[in-house]
Amino acid sequence: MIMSKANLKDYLTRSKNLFYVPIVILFFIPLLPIPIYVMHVLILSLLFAYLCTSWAIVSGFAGQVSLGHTCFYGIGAYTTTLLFHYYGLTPWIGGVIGVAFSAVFAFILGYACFRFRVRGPYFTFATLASTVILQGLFISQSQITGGELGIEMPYTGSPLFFQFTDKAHYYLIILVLWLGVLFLSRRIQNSKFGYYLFAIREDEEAAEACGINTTKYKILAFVLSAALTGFGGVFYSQYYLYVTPKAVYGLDRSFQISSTAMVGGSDVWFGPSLGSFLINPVVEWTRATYGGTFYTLPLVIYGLLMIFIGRFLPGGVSGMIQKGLISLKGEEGDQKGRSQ
Amino acid sequence: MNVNLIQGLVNGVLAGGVYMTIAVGINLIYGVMHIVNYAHGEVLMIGMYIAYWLFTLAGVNPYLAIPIVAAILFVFGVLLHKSVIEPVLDLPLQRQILIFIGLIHVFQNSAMVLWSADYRSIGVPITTESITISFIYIPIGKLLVLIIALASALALYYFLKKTKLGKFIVATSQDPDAASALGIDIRRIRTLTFALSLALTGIAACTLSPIYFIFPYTGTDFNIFAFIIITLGGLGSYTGAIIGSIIVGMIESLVSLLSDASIATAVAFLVFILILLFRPSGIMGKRE
Amino acid sequence: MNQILKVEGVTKTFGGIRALYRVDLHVVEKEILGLIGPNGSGKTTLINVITGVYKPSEGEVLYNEENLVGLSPHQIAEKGIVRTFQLTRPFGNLSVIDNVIVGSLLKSNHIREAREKSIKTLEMVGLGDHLHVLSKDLTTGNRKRLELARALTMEPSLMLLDESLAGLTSAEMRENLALLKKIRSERGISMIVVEHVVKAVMDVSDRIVVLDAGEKIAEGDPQFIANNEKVIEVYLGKVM
Repeated sequence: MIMSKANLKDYLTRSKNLFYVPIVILFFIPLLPIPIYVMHVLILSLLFAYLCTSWAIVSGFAGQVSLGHTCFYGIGAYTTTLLFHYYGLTPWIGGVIGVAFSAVFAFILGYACFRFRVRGPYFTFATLASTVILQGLFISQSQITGGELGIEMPYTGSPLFFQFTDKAHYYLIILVLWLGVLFLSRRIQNSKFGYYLFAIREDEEAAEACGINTTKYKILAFVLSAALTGFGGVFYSQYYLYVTPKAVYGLDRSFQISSTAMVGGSDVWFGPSLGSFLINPVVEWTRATYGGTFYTLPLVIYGLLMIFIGRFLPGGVSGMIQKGLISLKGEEGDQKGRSQ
Repeated sequence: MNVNLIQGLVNGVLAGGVYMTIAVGINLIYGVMHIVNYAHGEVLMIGMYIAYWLFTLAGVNPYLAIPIVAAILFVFGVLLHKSVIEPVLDLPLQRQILIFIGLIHVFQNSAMVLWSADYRSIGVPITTESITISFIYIPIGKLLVLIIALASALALYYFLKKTKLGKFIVATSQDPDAASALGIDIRRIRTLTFALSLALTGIAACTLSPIYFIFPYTGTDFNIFAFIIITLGGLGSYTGAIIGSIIVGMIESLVSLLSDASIATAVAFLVFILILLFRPSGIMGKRE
Repeated sequence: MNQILKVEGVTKTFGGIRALYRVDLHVVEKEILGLIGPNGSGKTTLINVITGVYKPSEGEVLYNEENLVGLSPHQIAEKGIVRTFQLTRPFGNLSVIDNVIVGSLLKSNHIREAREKSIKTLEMVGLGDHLHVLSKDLTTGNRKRLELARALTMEPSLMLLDESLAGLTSAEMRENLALLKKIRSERGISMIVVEHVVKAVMDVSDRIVVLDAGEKIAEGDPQFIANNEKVIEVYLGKVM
């Protein structure tokens, strides 16, 4: 006997530990008889939650809003695909290289912007323009990249090459990735690194006066966020086995990541994921159910929701929930790092 | 080869005219309010639809519709500013961006719902013709775009430098506190600037409507170029916007000119990265 | 006594405007130096030059014989010179305790340690029961105290306090002044106190430097300054 019944009950009712139970359950979902389409939506939602959480590290915590994060997504996806396509290099290694490229690109971009003390909007613009330029670049180099039509990943179905015949395997991988980035984000939020990022977001000059090397930390956050996003791109290419410039570098994708994260609440570790799980399935469902012209009406409403949240709910949906919980419990909780 | 090159240059300048007005519009708003209107391309899209419906339902020539569309968008600008933009000017960047993404969604998808995804076009005979100066072939439609874009930029310049109201706008953009202390009503100036920027876009929309297909997502394409132009030319700089537009236009035409388009884009990419590295605030931009 | 800070011949021009001209001053260990002068005399500019926000057009800033010119603000903070802001700059969306933790992380690498240190410091400045209040919801007086606490946890040897009494009630002012003296005696921190309220500065400073239009016009102990003709002229009409 590992624990007596009484101990088990006690263990579970302490809220921190209760948290781990649903996580364990998540791992067993593939054992249930769920339709392939649902599994697909689950995988996409998890991937999206992963991307949004990664984005929030630099844009939510540090306040350096990147609207071109798909740069790194695309670099990761294309590097893996191209290396496998032309050199037969296994995506396990190709993926690591893709992540490295993403990190390097982020470093160059971040260094250029932050070193010269260019203000927030400039950085945002630089990231925007980067993803657009990359899209153009990959479209134009069509002999190598397949241009607009994209490039296919040779199908092997072999785990050696990061390909699986059973969707469940993809599910497990993205689940682990998502949980990983979630815990990382939470860890950061409660660490010196996180505190410094929040300080930078709030008031850069005051942060400098507190001994914070703002340039260093901004670059660090950006590179970390980029590397994580890059790996998301690697997963994407291995899952879809087909990469096009529009899909990975498109502005729509970039705006989607940013807006979903902000709707959920980009200043807290679980906010972006919340946004992703709330929004994505709904969007997918309306698209499947309505089709035609009408599926865009929910998007109009979604747009209005964004405007409403931006204006009145800075913490996003997660902020609303936290505030609700606090008023319910009646205690003055410490909303670490929240935007109000 | 020489002939083609010159034609390419001409095409480039003409292409630049297409994006110029949006870039100038975004910079105008940024200069006064330090906020980037990411939805500016969508404003252009709305303007194009207005021109389309005026033409289709009332037979109004898009060029003649310019004052009408400009007026409509001016009013629209005032309403939009008062309801959405003004309340968020002091909010952190993140929240502003979310709001603009929301606006993009609302505009694009409202257009979809109202007018469907069908590509529409206005047929105005003169625009498909062209002037030929010796060996150079200049489509009239695009020429008109450029001429009117330059004319509006010039008119704007004159307005800002010579008129009282214009000087107030410049003062507000340079130092809002000082301007306010001098008795300038900053709120009205901001509303005016925003509405003016949209009206300018309306003018451009009319000139573009006979040339481009009109559909709900056309704004994105224009946005993309505007963003690149502003990155290159510098945020907040009108001259930068004009120069940047020409440069981007050149690159675009050279790409289609050279048989090996991939090299041109790669070079453009390189230039872009270099500018980012050494002048991230853009060629004419201000460093803080 | 040891001169820990020496400002030598510092000049700072902005375009055509001369904000500081050949200013010399020094601070001795455990000294409270008052820095006064009318509006626009260059007090905040001088603080900005010392802390690396501005680079002087001419002159040197020596801290323990090391020239600080060219270093960035965070490097100077690391070396032990810390400043507060005239218009308070708290990390608005962070709570009071989190604000101070940011400061204390300069010297403590662990959050727990930083938190404990912060709580103690906040209690010392009188914000012990405001720990979880959002800093942007604080009154001006409390904001000043917050900045003070944040600065203290950075374990400085020299603190530059820019108008830390502005906007306070006279009761609050008295409390804060007492606090400054306590800090000096308990922690041995030297200070440059920039103030508008001349009476308060007279009360707390060991020595006073007076600036006018970017130049130093007088220097000496409070008694000397109070009776100095040049100073009186510059402050004509002001309540001494």
